[in-house]
Amino acid sequence: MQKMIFSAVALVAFSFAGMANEIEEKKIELKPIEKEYATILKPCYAVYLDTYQSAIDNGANETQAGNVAWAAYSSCTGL
Amino acid sequence: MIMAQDKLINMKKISIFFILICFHLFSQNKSGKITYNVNLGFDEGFSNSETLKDFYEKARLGVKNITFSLLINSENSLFTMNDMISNEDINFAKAFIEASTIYYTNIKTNNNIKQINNHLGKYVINYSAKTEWILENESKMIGTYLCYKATSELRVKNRKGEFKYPIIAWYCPSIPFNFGPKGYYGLPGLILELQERNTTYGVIKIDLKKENTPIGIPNEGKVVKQEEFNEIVSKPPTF
Repeated sequence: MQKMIFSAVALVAFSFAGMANEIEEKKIELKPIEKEYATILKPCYAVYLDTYQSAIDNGANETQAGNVAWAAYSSCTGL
Repeated sequence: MIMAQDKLINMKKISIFFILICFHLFSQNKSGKITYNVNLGFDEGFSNSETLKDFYEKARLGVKNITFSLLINSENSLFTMNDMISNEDINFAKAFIEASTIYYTNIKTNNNIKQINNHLGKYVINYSAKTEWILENESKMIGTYLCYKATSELRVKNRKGEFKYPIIAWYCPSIPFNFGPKGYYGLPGLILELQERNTTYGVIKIDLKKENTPIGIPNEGKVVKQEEFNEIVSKPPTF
């Protein structure tokens, strides 16, 4: 009887431990990608807006300003 | 007797005249493909802007790899960039000179179309392209062709205000096509050199044909008005 109770407690304990590990692993997988996008794209978005405005201020038409801003954004992200 | 001889001479003259006219008509060039290279000069605005100067310098290097083709026949022209392998400098050059835009012109129907192909997608725009040219007395040789100068003004309206830039065209009356680079037309001869703001298109190859080659109308993309497109492009894309 004692053996059976011990086995049941051990089974439940190991199950919780296993589940806890699974959740933690998922978090580890997602974090670096999110961080990478945040660190690369946010400043490059600012580059896009800054370049667009400078082109407009210096007499570019809307299409030209958009194209130059996109080229600057692509250069920034390296995509 | 003398009257009969005169008549005969007149008949001969008329025949020769008709033969010459027919010869002239059949020997005329009816279509062609003109190749242009591009040069980006110093620009007071772009070259001095803290944000843009590095990008503009890259563009000035990259532009040396870009060429355009102008297909022409008696009624239409189509101006397109030639294919090439791209890099960062070339991408900036394409952006500054709007190289991905295709220009179609029909001088009989006054139908002018721009097909824009950029990061926002493909758009087709019908636009008005009548240029008020001033014919100057200046002339110069471009290759073996005697060319004459014509000038006009480019007006760019954006949210900052209105900007004016000079347009200088060198056209060649001995090549009787009224077309030129970037949708410009309306001069009494083919435009062999065109300067618009800081960008100069210069002819590098002229290939004329006796037969008429049809030119297709660009129709890939969503049809929008110029004002609608300006609205679309003025909003930053969703990243």
